[in-house]
Amino acid sequence: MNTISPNRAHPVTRLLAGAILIGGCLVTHHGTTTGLVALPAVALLSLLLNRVRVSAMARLLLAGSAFYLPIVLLASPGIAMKGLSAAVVGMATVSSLGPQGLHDGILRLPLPAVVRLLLLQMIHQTEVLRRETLRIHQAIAVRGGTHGLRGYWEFAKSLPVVWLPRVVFRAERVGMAMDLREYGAVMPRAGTLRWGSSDLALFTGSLFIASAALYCSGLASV
Amino acid sequence: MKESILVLRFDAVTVRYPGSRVSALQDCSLDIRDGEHVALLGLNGSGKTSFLMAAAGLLAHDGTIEVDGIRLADDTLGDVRRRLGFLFSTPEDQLLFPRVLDDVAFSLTRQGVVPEEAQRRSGEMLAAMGVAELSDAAPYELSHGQKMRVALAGALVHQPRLLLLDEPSGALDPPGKRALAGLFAAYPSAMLIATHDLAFAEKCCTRFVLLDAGKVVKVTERLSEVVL
Repeated sequence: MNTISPNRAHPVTRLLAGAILIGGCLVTHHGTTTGLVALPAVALLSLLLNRVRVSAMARLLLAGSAFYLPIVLLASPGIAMKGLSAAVVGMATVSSLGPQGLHDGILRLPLPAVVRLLLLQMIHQTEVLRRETLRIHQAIAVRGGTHGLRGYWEFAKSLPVVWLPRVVFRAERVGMAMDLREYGAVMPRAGTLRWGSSDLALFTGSLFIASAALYCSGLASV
Repeated sequence: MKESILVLRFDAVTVRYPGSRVSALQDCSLDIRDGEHVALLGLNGSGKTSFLMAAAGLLAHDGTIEVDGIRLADDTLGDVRRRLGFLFSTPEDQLLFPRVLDDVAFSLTRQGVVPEEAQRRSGEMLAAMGVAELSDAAPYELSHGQKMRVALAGALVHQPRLLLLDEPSGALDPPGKRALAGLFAAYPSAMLIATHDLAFAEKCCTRFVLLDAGKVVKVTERLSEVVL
């Protein structure tokens, strides 16, 4: 018997479900108490639905909170909560799919081919860049003999002079390779798409959660 | 005697990078015949990579470049590149897909080969490169040597008329170098290999071109005449 589970759904369904929840977060009214409660509830549900590990959840929330802290201090906690919830939903969706799942999902998205290809390449290069950044950080730590906070500070100082030029040159070389290999001449092949009960459950579930958040917050506001 | 077809012709080619007063290549001329394996030798900065990039239409040039009888120009770029296989010295830059097999197969699918056939042939090419077990891996998880082999598989799989290879042996261990030299020596297409690994060049090439400061200073069939 087939078990219904969000992780059994096709990557494109999971991406669309994520998009629905992000949309829900963005239009939920943050000026009411119920709205302020609904937003983190949606984010939490998304983390649970995508079975994000507790340690990864903590890192996501910590990174997101740090990012939105200036908005909390300077503007409105409600807007920060909106942004943080949407960001957590997005990150939970993406992290649960993995590179290949994300690739398959984006290939099936109802978007123009050029946009899908661009998204695919951005995601692929982000991972390449992440690893390159880690290597630069390690090289600075080893060559500078620094570690801990001092090491991070040395690394941060090196970003404009080491990281940025490298990224620019890499982008140039990747552009050449894409040109040479005629990337974009044909769409890559997408995996087999079979809609099942998990897809239906996830899709309708996401719609329900987003609508419920919207309803609980009183009125929609942009 | 039947005359061999030229697959690469450089006639008085000069390349200058934008903003630079020095030419990366200066008045270079070279012919490569069908099936011929030529090593492009020279010290760092002698112009080897610029030579390969100019041949693939990645750098603007003065003079004439022809690939398989087609003159390289804006309107022939696609035709020319479909006849080429290119290996960058940093292979990571040319791996564009999240799965190794898809990346190799892309070289075939862009030429209209049906996906199933493309995947089958790509699997065989990966096996020939000794990395069949990496089919489902993500390129960024691989070592430099493995990336090199995967990128090479992508360059070879569609059996191009001309292979342009930038330091293909650079990241390989000795057994890997030997295997690659053997593979290249038996490969039927023409190839131009930029390297400063003389032992490797000797194993897989029959003609040696020495570049110095962007100029072709020697073309010989005897490696002993080349001094780096």
